[in-house]
Amino acid sequence: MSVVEAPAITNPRARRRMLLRKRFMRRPMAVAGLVVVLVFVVTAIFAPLLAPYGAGATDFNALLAHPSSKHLLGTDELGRDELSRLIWGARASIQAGFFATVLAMVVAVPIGLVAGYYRGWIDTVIARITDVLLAFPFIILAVGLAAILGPSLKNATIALGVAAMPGVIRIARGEALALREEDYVPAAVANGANDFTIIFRHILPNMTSTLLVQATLIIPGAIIGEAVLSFLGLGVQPPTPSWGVMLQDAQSYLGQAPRLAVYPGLAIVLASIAFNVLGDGLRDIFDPRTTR
Amino acid sequence: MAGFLLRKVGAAIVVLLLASMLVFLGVRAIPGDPAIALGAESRDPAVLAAIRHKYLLDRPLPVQYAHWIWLAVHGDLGVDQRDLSVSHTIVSRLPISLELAFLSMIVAVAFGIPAGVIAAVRRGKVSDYAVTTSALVGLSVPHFWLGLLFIVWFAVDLHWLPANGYVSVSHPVANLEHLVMPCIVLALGLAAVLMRQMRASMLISLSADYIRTARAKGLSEQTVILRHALRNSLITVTTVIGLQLGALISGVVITETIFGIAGFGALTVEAVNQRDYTLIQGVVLVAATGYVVVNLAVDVVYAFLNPRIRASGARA
Amino acid sequence: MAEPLLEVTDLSVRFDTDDGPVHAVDKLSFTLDRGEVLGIVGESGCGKSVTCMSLVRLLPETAVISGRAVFDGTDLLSLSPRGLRAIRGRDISFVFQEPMTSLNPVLKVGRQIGEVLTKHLGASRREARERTIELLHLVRIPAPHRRLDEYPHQLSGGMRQRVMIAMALACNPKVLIADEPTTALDVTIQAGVLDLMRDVRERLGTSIVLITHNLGVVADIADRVLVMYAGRKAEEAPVRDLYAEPQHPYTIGLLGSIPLPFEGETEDGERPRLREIPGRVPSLRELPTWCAFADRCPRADELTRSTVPELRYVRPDHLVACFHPGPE
Repeated sequence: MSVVEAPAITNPRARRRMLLRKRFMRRPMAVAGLVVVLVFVVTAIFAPLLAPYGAGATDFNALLAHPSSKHLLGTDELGRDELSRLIWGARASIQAGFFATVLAMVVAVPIGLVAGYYRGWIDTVIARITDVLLAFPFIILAVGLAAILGPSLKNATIALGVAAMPGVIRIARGEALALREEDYVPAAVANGANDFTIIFRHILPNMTSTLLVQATLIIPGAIIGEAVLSFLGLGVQPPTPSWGVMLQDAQSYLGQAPRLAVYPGLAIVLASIAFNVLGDGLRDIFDPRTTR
Repeated sequence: MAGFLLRKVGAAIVVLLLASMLVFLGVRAIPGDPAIALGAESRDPAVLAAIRHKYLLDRPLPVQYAHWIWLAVHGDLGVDQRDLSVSHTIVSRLPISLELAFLSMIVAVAFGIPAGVIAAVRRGKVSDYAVTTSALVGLSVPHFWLGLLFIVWFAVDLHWLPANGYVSVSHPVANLEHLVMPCIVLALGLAAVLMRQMRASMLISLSADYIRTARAKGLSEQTVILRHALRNSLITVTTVIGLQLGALISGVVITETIFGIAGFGALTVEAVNQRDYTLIQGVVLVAATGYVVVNLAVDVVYAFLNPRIRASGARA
Repeated sequence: MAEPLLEVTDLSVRFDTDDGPVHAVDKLSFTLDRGEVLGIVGESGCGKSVTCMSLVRLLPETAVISGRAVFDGTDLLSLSPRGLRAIRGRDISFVFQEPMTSLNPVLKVGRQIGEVLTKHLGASRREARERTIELLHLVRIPAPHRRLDEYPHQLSGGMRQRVMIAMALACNPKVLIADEPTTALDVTIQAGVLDLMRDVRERLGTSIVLITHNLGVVADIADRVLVMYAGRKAEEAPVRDLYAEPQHPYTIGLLGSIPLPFEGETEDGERPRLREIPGRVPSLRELPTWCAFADRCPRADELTRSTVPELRYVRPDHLVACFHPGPE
């Protein structure tokens, strides 16, 4: 009757959003995961404002110092403030996690969509390419890239992104296979839509929730991967701080200052758990069948 | 069945060829003149020309590739910077890594599979939460960090276990002592993945119609779970074990580096650090081949386990 | 008359779900005599399958069951899990709707039948094998000694359902509960399976509960029919009476909507539906305090919409729950 009448209920999208938000809020673990994730992201973005000292600022009067009011988590072998380096290090981790995931998604999703939509020989070709990618474990890939392009955060991120691609291709392909059978595809064809429109307007939007969940679950793997590669000297190069680099440094002082090995590790574990819990929570709210 | 096997073997060969080309081109893409690296940094044009000729570097890329792959198939991966046979180096290092990987896989399966089954059967109960939480932690704890902590606790503080190194199997006790920590570290992530997969797969199996049939027959819960549900789930999870091999290889590299074990994984890192291209090329090729071959083996085992493929040779 | 083999009194089944309780069956009572074939008829979701599965507790843990179900002198509903397992598959056995998924895909059919024999009769592997061949023979599967070592996917749908029946008959059960045994099968194969069940009753004297949404199937084989609607009994009568003089408007609607022969599956692959009755089955979230069929009933009036109709006899063995019973 009137135009202003209950817009939230008549708009199915808004209603679905509301329902999802309600389901999400009912999962305390997922909410906690989101909060921790946000804390890490904010820390990474505002590191210069949050860190009490510069990333490389050394204090030669306090080498391997114990935690004190001056250095809340103590200092490392060069007298660098441990807390500050953890905060700066969050940048490398969050960057690697984020960009590796974006890279994997941007490249792998269209490939998977095409394979699942067209099937036939193109699907077979893509399946073989995926197999080839899988044959290179991410460390081996990173080793190769580091050899070709030199070790750096960027190249480690690329290696991590490429390593995540086969999984994403497989998921996008599976979704496309299922979605192309939905009623709206023939309807769109009848309306004269071309393949491009069908794939990107009709199929892709319907798999965003699956992809979002997948992305959230790739990030923790990439965060750990970045730490591993930096630890091995294949990622972030010292003196630039990264949790992996910090652990590498700490390795030489395990006897004197084991806490130097504890903090960065805890940061990795916390970030990884937070993303994993958030991803699991998102999967549950998008797909209520998995829960009871 | 024969058709299925042929298809799988064919696909594996194609994948291996493509992978080897990728390795070959990757190494050619490394900046710098390989002749200089091979010629002990000599800049003498005559020496370089001789080296180029000797290593076929003056021939077109396809010829170089064909030559390299021909030798590789015959077990010759060339010589490294120190003029040592790459094949020999790899062969001498590989058994150490295989022992580590194999023991870790056993530990991971021994814990992951039963834990996943228990979690699924006791869904929503305390034991389920215990298993899913430990799987989450297992996925989130980086191996190398856990390795460092283990060294601090069990080697530095408690002196229970040696901090690093490897002792050959001819001294079994010392051998195992040195491998306890690396194995646990490496098994952790694998066990976590297996737990999750096994739990998910068992939940699907347990809700299947044939489980209702089995219960309607009056079978005990134990028989229903072990004979009817587990059998189906294990077949599914077999494939996961194959896919985990990539993670296992990565894990071996890290674990060996932390625990100072001179295996294949440590060799990989050494090769990069020394920028030894022949060695990198060989190591990467062997790792990729290992992955493809083991996955082929897993596919074959899967086909034997799954009567639907075994009987008809239908697509997997 | 001898006491019935199975006497169910005030059986109620409720599912406690996340979104609140669902009342699947409400105070249902019925009996089954020895050697009798009882048809339970209704639309999907009316509680007919739940009723039968609740008797031997095959329902998920969320189900809350109350009432009594006395089988051969023991109350099934208060039996221990162990006691119940001794009855399942031995005295009361099931044939399910989907022969495709109801057999374990990774076990040979011989083993799946044989394990009932080893479990309940303590048969050795060899004895089980011999008896299994006999059983496969009984359900008219050709070349049984070869079929024994095949996997379910190697058999056709009709064959699989015969295997299910062989499995159910393995221990000469007193009651065979067949839940839509022919629904998933081609029309031509349906007749064969029904034939087999009729044969089983005659030769072995097994009582059969036949659950179906298809009154045509029931007419073929049942002695007595129980019509269920929204978890309650709407009508119950000997099969002839029910067809000759249906009393409940719902039964009349069902009879008017028997799918024609050879209609089989609809275009979109769904099973034939009872399309002729307008409206939908009410939600079972809460038990209605009026006649559950009122919304779809041409005879509904004030009384129907305010009071639950009690079951009453319109003839000595013809029960109906309706304020305005009678043929059209």
